[in-house]
Amino acid sequence: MTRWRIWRRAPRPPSGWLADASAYLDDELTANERSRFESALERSPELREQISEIALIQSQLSVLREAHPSRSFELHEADIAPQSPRLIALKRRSEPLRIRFAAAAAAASIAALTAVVAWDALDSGDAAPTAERSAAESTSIAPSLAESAPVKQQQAAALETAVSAFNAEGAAEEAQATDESAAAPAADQSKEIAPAAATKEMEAQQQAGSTHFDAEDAEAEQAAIEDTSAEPSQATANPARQAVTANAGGSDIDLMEGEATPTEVQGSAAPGQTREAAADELPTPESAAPEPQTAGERSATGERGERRALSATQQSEPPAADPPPIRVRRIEEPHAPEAAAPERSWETPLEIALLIVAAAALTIFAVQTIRRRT
Amino acid sequence: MPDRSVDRLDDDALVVRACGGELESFNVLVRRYERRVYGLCLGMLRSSAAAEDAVQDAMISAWRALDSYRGGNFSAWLLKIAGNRCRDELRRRKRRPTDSLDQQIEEQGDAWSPLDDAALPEEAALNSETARVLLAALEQLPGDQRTAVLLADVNELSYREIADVMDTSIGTVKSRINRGRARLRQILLERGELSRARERQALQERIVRATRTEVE
Repeated sequence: MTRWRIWRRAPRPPSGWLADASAYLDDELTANERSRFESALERSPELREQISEIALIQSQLSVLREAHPSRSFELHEADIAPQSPRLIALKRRSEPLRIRFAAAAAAASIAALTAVVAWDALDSGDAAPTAERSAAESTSIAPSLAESAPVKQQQAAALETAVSAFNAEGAAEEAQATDESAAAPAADQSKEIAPAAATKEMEAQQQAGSTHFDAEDAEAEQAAIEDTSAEPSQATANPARQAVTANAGGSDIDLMEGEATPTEVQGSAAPGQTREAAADELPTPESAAPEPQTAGERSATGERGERRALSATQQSEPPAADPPPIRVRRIEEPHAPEAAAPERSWETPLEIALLIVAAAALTIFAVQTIRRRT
Repeated sequence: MPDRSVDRLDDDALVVRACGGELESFNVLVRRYERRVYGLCLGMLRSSAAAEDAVQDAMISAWRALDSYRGGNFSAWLLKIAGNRCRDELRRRKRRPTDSLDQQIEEQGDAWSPLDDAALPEEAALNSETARVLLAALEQLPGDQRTAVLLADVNELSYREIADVMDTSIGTVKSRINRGRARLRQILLERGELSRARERQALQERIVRATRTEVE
């Protein structure tokens, strides 16, 4: 037979009943809860004491019910009148410091951003005259080029004559090379290579139309010619050397990259300029060609080609009076993008930072204003 | 001459007339509940001047927000507005704590005059002392518990009305009131004010009894 044991819930301690004490005093308990609480109240003197203390506090708090204000709070027409613009302005002026600070920060950031952008615009406006000045300088060459246009054809013809003379001389020298091989082996090597190479490279350069002369290359040419003049057999009878040497103190012409063709460079010589000088002004293969080439090869090829040219002009025409020398020098383009980039490097991050600050300040200002209005 | 018939209207009828633009109808409601609202504000702010400002602001806000009143208990709706105003003021005080001279004077009990003019001087003095002690103890309570205790004991609202005012459940209200009173009892016990309160209550009862005897 199963024995059922009846489990009785243990009586709650006074602290457990305390949770219902306030509800009991406020008459917020149900009938069942009230009867159970009152039975617990009869059993526990501690609970009774606590209830009496809470009732005392409750009665003391009722004193505050007796408090009366010193004035009436009735509304008058002035209290509910629509706010005048002046009052709204006064209220806006008395807005919290945070809103005013956010507004000031937003305004300052926008002003700074505008100043930077304006400065940037003015700065680019200053660059424009520089470009115009460069363009004017480059166009100032145009009259001289136009003046030398009739001479251009004559000198082109002279150049062709010189080239054919090179070839003829090269052929003759090759024929003599067998006889003179023992006397001058080094000279034979240069004569075998230089005419063909110089002619081919010159023609290729004329087709390519590149005339990128460099001051350093011109100096190198001059040094090479002076080196050749050190040989006693050629130095005395080399009028072109005098012309090239005189070229060192002559006037310079600055050309923009890609502005002049070799023919134009030839034509850019003054009307009285000799073919030797014109030949000197021709771009050498090593200075014009950007292909990788060692300094030794370049100087050797240049020396051989110019030596041939000088000897050819020496044979074809007598030396003339010193013409106004022309030097072609390469200058940088004014609007190279890689040159402009570093100038703007500090502006763009600053603009971005100011933009972020302005946006953040405006957001804070808007949020604060909306919160205050609502 | 003011229309006294308006005073006999119930809250909802007065609200309807006030929504139509009758300021006098709204002022009847103001007169009806201003002392309750003031008691709540005084208990929360512990300064009569701040409480008066809060009540005035609450009345103006209530007039402007009459369209949003959806019926029910107007006094609970008004007390809710006043409670929010007091919480804003308390938050502002917390951000910028200042020592108000008025508050210092009121803490000393000089500016406290809670009784009507008809109260006896002895009873007024006792009530003033009791109120000063209770307000100091109430200030130690968390805001929610303080509001719940004041709404229950000063404004005599039911738990459901308090739940409406505080936007919470009845169970939460019950818990807040119980904890608030227990904490208040603890504070008064620690300060020895509970026994003094008991003495004050006994003295007050004696005064009332003696006054009645004299009148009879």
